[in-house]
Amino acid sequence: MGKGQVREKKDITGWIAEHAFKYRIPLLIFTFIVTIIMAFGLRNLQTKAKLEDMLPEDHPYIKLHKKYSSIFGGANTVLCELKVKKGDIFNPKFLKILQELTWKFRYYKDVYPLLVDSITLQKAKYISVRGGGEVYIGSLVWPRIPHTKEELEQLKEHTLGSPLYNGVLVSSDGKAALIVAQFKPTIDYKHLYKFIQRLRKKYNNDYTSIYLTGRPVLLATIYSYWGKIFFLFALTFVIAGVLLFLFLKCVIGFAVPLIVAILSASWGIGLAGYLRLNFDPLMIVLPFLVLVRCMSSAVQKVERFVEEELKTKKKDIAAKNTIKRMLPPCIGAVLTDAAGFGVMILSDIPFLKSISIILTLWIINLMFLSGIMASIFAYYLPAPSAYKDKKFFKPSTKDIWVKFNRKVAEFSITKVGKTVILSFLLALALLFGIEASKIRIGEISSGSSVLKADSVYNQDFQEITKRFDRIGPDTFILYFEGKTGAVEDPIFLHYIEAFEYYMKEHMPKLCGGWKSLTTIVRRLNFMFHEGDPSWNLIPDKKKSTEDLILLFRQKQPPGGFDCFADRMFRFGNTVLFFKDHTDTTIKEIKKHMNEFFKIHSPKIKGFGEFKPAGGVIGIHAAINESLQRDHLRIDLTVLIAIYIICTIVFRSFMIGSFLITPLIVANIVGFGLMSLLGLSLTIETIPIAAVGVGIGVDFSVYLYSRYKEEYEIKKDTMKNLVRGAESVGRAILFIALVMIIPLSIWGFLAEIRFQAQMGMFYAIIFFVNLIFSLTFQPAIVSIFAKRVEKILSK
Amino acid sequence: MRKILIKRAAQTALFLYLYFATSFVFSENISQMPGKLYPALCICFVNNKIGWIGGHFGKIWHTKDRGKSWELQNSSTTKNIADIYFVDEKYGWAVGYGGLILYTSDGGIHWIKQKSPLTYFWKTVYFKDKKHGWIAGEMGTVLGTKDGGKKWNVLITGDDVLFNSITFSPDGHGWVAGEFGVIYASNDSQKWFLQDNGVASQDYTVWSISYIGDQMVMASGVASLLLFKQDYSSKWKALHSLERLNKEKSLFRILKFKDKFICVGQKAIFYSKKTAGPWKPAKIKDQLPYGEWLYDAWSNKEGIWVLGIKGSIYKSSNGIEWEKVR
Repeated sequence: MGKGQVREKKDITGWIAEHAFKYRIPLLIFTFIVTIIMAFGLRNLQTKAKLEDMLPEDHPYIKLHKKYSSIFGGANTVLCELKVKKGDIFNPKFLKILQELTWKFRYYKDVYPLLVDSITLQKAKYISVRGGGEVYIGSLVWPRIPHTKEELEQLKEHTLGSPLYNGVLVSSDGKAALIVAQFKPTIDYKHLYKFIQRLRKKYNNDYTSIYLTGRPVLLATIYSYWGKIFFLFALTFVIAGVLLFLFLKCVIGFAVPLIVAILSASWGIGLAGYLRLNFDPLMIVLPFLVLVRCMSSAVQKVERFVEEELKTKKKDIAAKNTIKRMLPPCIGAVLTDAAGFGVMILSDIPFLKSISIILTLWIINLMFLSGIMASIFAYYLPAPSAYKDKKFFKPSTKDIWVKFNRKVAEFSITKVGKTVILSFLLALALLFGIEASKIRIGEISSGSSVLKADSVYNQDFQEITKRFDRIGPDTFILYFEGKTGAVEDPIFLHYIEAFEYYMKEHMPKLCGGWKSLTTIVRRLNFMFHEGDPSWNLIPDKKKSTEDLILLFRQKQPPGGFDCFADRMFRFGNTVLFFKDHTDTTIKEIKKHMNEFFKIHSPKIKGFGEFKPAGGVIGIHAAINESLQRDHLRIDLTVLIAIYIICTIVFRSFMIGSFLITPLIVANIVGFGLMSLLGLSLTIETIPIAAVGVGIGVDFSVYLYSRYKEEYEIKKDTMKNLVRGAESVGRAILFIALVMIIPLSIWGFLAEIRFQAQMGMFYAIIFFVNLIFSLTFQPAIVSIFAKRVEKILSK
Repeated sequence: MRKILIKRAAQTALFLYLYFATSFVFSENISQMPGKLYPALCICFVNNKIGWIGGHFGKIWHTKDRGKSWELQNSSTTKNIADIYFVDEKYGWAVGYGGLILYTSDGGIHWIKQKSPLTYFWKTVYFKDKKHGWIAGEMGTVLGTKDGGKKWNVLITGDDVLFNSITFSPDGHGWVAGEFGVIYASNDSQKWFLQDNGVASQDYTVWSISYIGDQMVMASGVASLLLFKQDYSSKWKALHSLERLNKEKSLFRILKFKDKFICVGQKAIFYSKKTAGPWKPAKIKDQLPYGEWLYDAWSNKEGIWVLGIKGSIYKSSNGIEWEKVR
């Protein structure tokens, strides 16, 4: 047996190492073939933001939304404001421009044409009474644009004087008009972004200004950053590679991690492509994290390979020893990461399930690529011992990283050190724990928290919601299903009316107005009684309401009435407009809605049932409820899964507890910071947070693995702790910095606020994990030295 | 340094004061403001300070400070209130849709439903004193009471006509008018008979009928309709004096205030010193908001008020110049 050769011990990892190296060529060929196959799969991966994927499918609100969104409108509403810079909108020039803009929306391919609202459309009616009691229903700006002074004055009166239009499609100050468009669930966001940009270019001029808001606009805006996101991704990946080279100063040092990372990514994402999974581009910080995670896993192997190669001067022995020693902790580390990703499959939300599968498939292949192939790749690259300046590759005790880690470990095992570290851990947990308990679920600010506050989208949002006080992009729909003719019945109309007023009275600032048959029936009744305002009410007799609705319906163009009811008058609704969909607003809406339902039962026997809730508010309410349930369930499950895996790997509950402790504190700090920064747990942040639970645990896994190896040589806990810090600690430090620095760069350079914040979130979690791996682990092991020695010596 | 600190402290104190002061103001319940959420329909002031407004959804608002601020009273109904009438600060009645009759004896702190013999839409109510009152509304119905509303008797009914307004002279002559220009009169407040309105070719609805003194009665209605009766025995005569100014819009109220006749149109207030005119548009200090409809009016010795459905209240002491109270 040669120097440094694998001991003749019949263990499985030794067997794997021997055979993997023996069959390295077939393995390389296998790797190459699989890579080619998987690369083809990449073409099929979808990278779209699909609203439907974000919805908890089994939630009753979502079922209603899916049933009715194409009829009554859904959550893909765009509000487009066209404002005049001088004077008011009541002139032929502006009205012609508005008409032109309306047609552009109406004929846009992803819009439901019959669900576009604008004062220039035929279906925008006014109701007036003429002398002698004649009721007249006419179109506001159709078939031709008013151009005489009287006609324009009349238009002003019919719009600003009507609750159907004032503050809804025309601003109260007469300076702006609104177009409301409902988009289909499948939107080509790239095309939409170009469309929006063309509109902005054309209608932002000396005469008019244009503003757009709504979920489709938001997602299209995010898509527009795709190029920059990609660039940032590539830049930070290159920075990570450069850092690796700077730390390890050899070709193996940066080549092997890069190769492993790229191969792992192509396998994982390629397989996801074959499975036709969808990946939301907003989550791009996750693949970056996984990519860097793959690199870090390979760095561990490279560090070990270099160490073995310098010791034995034989690359084959170095490769075999590396596989033998590093495969078990590699499997443990990968499984803990996979647990973190895989647990998201428990969620009701398809989007989270999809991410879970993609990331789990991706990370699992590291067991092969990092655990085995990294050493084989290293074998074929120039040996470190061949390098001239060897002192950089041999972990000498004078090496600055070694020195630092040694000092830290030595301090951590002193009495003072233990006290300081444990007290600090506790203090951190307590302080941030209080803040973490306040973290909210759902959006907490109006506009979009994904983008910066001064972004064009958020500024447009503020402008539109300020100027049109009776409408907002955030709709709440109360549906009705009943017997034939029920929607024409005063029972339905009175109920809806009472609901509308109840919500408005209890939420006057947040609730704008509503769109339903009640306003139309009241208005028609009022006009039918010669414009007597005391008749602005819903008649008690069904015959009267039927006649009024029939009159209105007859004046609508084809499909114009569909947003109110179906042909049999079995299905109806009311749409209430709110200023935002923050979690506070949603909770308030639900509270008042439930109070109303206590007074007025939503089920009317023999008549029908009122069912909440659709629209943007309904969807977000469902998502928030799902997240509320999922958040704790997922995070706890991840922690438990990681604990179990760690316990199995080291066959000790105690060591499992030691491994999990810094993880828990790191996450408390992370959530506490999120709360302090005004972030909340949303559909976008939940996967980030869930993944964050498990990251960094592999630092400690590799540390304990090294302790175990050192115990095989010498049973001296204190020396082993220092030795472990010098060797693995050095790698941990490198890896952590390779991850923290690029993630921090995301924090500063990412255009999308959400990605910037999530980059910083991960950087902080890594940092905390790093600190506690290098301090807490030696400290706690030194306290329970005898027991740990017994466990790790087995 | 000290001066800077004092300045900062003063600025902070001012900011905090304004913040809390304005947040108190803006935290006012939306339903407390007449016309803001629920349209206002009728107004009544017993003196310069104390008044009531009735509106949609059973809302009744009360003021004690000339109309600057209003508080919502509990009517226990969601039916529209078309008319409200108080004989003094305590005793009042409100009527509305679906046979609604409400009564209060404590200024509206408590409103009690009175039993209505029919469930028609009651559009107008008048009380001579605490006991004697009349209501008119759908199906050509007039109700009367002699006990403050404990029992309401049907005086006339059956004609498919909606009565919008009722008025009485001090000596007990009464007139009620409404749809199609139909006018009924009574010499004893009990028996009612149809009168010819003097407008042959058109059936324009009368919105308001008002006894203006010296046996004279005036009425106003749709499309600038103005009717005049010189005395109890004379015939009704149509006046066309406001058609040029008001065109086809409705004249919702007509009444006499001091030496002037006041007519409330949808978008304007007119005054004249003579029944035949000339009528002039009154000077309203603040422009009427878009969508505002001037709908009801009330006068007493101390002033005249005009109410818009969006809650605008205009007051005048001479009928010519009007300022916005709210």
